[in-house]
Amino acid sequence: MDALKRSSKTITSLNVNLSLLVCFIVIIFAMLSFSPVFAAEGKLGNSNTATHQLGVKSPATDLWRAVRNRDFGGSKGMSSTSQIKSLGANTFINVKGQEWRKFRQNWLLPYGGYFLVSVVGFLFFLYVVIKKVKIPNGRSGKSVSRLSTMQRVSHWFMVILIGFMALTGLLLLFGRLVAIPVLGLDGFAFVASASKESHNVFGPLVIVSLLLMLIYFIQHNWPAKGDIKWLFSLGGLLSKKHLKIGFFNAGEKLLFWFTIWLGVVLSITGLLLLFPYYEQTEAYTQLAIAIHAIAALLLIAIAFAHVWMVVTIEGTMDAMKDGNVDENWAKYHHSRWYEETTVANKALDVDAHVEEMSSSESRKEGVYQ
Amino acid sequence: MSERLERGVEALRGQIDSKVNAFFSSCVNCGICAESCLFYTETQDPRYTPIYKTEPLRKVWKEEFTFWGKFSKKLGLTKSLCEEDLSSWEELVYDGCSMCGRCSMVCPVGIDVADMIYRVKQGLEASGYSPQSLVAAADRAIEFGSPMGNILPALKAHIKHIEADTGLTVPIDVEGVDYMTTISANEIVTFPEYIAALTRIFHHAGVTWTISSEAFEATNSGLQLGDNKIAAELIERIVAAAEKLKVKYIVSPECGHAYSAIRWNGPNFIGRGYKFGVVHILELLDELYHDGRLKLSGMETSKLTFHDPCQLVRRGGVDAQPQELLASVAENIVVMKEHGRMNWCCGGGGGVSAIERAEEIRIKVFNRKKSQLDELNVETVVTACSNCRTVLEDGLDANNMEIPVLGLTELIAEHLVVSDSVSSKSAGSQPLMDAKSSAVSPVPVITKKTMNTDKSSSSKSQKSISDTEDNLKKIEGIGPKIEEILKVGGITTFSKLSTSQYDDLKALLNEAGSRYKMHNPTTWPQQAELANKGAWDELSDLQDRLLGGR
Amino acid sequence: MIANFIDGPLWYFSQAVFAIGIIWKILSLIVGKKKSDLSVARGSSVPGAIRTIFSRFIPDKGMASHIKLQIIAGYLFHLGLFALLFFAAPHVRFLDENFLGFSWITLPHWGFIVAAQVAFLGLLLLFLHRLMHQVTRLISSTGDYLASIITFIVMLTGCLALLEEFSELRLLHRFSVEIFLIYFPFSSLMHAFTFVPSRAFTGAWFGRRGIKS
Repeated sequence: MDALKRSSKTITSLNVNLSLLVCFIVIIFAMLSFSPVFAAEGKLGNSNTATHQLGVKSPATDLWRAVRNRDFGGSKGMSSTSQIKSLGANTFINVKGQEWRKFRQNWLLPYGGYFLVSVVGFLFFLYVVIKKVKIPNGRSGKSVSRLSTMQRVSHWFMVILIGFMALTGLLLLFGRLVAIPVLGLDGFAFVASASKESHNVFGPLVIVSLLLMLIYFIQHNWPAKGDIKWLFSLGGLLSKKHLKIGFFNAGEKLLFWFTIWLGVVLSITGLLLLFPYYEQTEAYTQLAIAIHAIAALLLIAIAFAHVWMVVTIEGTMDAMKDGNVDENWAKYHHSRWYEETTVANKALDVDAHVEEMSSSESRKEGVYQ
Repeated sequence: MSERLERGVEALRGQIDSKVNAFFSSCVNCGICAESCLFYTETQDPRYTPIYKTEPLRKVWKEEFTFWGKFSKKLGLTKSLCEEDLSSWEELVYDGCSMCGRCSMVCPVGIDVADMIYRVKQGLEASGYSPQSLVAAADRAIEFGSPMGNILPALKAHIKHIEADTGLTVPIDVEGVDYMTTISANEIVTFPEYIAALTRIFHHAGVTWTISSEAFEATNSGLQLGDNKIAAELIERIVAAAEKLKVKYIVSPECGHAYSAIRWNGPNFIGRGYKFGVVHILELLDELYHDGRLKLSGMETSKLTFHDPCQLVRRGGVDAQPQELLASVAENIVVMKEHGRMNWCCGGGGGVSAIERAEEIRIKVFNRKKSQLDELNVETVVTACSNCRTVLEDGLDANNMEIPVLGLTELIAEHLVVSDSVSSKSAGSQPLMDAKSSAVSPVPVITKKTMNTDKSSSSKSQKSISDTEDNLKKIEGIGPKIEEILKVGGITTFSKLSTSQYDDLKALLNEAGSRYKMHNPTTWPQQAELANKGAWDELSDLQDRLLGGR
Repeated sequence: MIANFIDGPLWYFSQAVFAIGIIWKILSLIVGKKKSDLSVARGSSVPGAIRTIFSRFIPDKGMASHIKLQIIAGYLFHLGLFALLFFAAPHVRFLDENFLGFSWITLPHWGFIVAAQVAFLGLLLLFLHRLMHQVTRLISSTGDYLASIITFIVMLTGCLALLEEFSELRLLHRFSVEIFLIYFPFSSLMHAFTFVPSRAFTGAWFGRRGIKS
């Protein structure tokens, strides 16, 4: 009976992991095959000049080009001057805005949008297809303390902030496409204004949340030896033995570092956009926006993947609710951490003698890490 | 609604006044009080959060004094206070709160949580949800005058010894003196040296004083129980005695809650002011010291610290006096990290130490004091409350820490300058610690009654030649240490023990050091007699009925 | 239609509820039953009360390390909120035009933003702490959560309307303020006023016993 249970358990976990792999491949192919479509769409939207249709060159075109090119401070022999001393005042016609618009319309919006939609769709597909990973042998009823109050506070603080920033940010990025059809032009006007103002107010708080996250979680996220094995075996899928995992597995560590680094990128670019007092050129600003948007989309996708994992693996959410996890969950998913923490607890309970033994034990374990 | 629940709700309703209204209106449930409460910090059980202990009172307040409460009660949305609430809060409020009042000092909106917990106690007591031990103690206090039963004979016996020892008289029922001294039962039973110390100090300083044989007991079981009627009755007795003897002041014993009861709550219990003053013994000693009537000599050199009794320092306002008095007789005083009005409670106040079923949690929360003492690494702890003293000794014993606990008044008495008129042998300038280390009892009361010290020093050889020795550990209450003490004292067999007198045994224990003082040898002779006869079944029957040999 | 209602009747109604609620509470504290203390006082109660009203702004030293989050987040939130409430330019202008007829120094725009961020930071951390800490989770009532959420919404709608260009956003802010005002007297938000008598009662009690609290 017990053996049967165990074999069925491995089959489920194998199933999960296999389907994960398959889905990974599917999404990569999907992305690749979608991209020409986006590109074509972009081109279609932009081919609208009258000259091309008539096939006759307007005499004004040359003049237009000449004026438009007269902008780089005389590098091309034709300079213009202005009494106004502000940045770019001696540029007649600034084409960078148009270039930026093209990039945004033709590249950022379609690719970004479909990236996000396909990630979310794919995760939803996984959610529907893959069975929940139950806690092996069910809940034991005994709990192990896993996360401190401050760890949970800083996590949820980040969730609230990133959630809010993602919502307002996406409204600003895709609002025209998504929100105007729903809210109408007038409706979207104040939503956009509200989004922009609150995005700016809440932005700097993300930095606080990143700091809190670093302070309270970095101790568990240093790379350890087993991590590479975990990654190469795709979370234990390709390994015959059940992997012994510490407080976090390599995937969770990647999540952490991705969040931190993307967060740092978002913070820096965000601050540059919020306080444009550096040497201001449109190029910098546009670059900052582009990086900001791409990093944000990546972070949102990662956040969705994180949510999916938590929903799929039963018992994981407990840790973020009251800080305790079920003993069986801990034994299965983070066996090495479980052993360490129970040994440490016992040492506290019994006496100095046992404490000495266990600490020498954990020292030994430390060597093998 | 059952009748007893109704009584409880009625009592709680009666507790709600402007103060409670302001307190509950202000509470935002920030949870800061939890961190100030040793019952929470040591158990990490959120139910011990101080403000949570007032939940029954808050429920009544919400339902009857707030709009939403009344509204949702009409709609049947709220769950009213029920008997299950009362019965589960009984354990929280009586066993899980020592009324130490630290929470009242830290609340950011200034809620006096301890005061509100006392109000909850009154509701629980009215509905009959109060611990049996406290109810029984209160009954004994009403019937016999003391929560420990009729201890007047014991007091009289002690007084006889004191008079014999010191050559002084202990004035009983003397009219027209300045001070009527009250004593706590614990001091009579466990620390009679306190009375001896008082006798010597008052004689030394020329204070006219007396003890009333009708109302010597200062502790107030009514206050611990939350029964104001009983509390008032007990106060009335003291007031009547004081008025009969026409004294100017009542002297409260060291015991913190006795001081609170008689000094601060007493007039409110009986509904009228006193015609006399109430001073705490340390206030009086400090005053005498400042008036130059207390001549002290010699300094304690051992590293010691003072454990501030909560009801005395934090809730009673006797804060500076113990510090000054201690500094006048000791030179190596260290303070705990949190001391004075922010000290940590020993864990046994508010009646907790009198509740038998609370012993486990009391020992657990003692960890707070233990870690404070561990930090200091002191040789001696001084305190000024007999209850704190018992609880500290108990806790230290449970943690195998050998730190003697002394009473401040006795320490002062040890340092009195010997005047010609006093013919006390050990009342010299010899520091107490030295006295202890040479195995001489610090307190003169016992010295005459004990086997003399020469005998005990030569008893090692005695022990080795004695051919038959019984295993005295079979007696409940006797462990290896006490067995050794008894054997050194010449009690080596069951038959010897069975014929020993209570006083002799007590004296032997006292002589061995302050940490053995709390052991009560009352039943040892009886047990030994059974053991001597070989009636082991009967003995185990008897031991089943006993608690720790008492 | 809705705009008129929010700017008109609801606005007056909410103010009335707020004002009457607070006056009612304060009166009930003044008129309500009080137990007189018959014991002989050692110190006097009035200085004790005044002392405690102020002393409780500073947390106890020994406690501080155990309640860092409550102290830091609590101060951030309350200071930020006061700065917003009384020194934000639109608020001062509003009070000036509608109630007082005079104005005072206001925060610059960046100051407003910083105050809002500080207040949000504090409020969010306190809210999460309430949700996550075993003690506050046990003792908190629905009312406590509701109070935090309503306060958050008021602040958020205020920030959304920062540009002061859309009447919809201004109305949203005013509507949330009205909900806040109506809810205020019936909730633990009342502590904004009752903390003074509460501290005073305790301070007086300790004062007459000669204890600094």
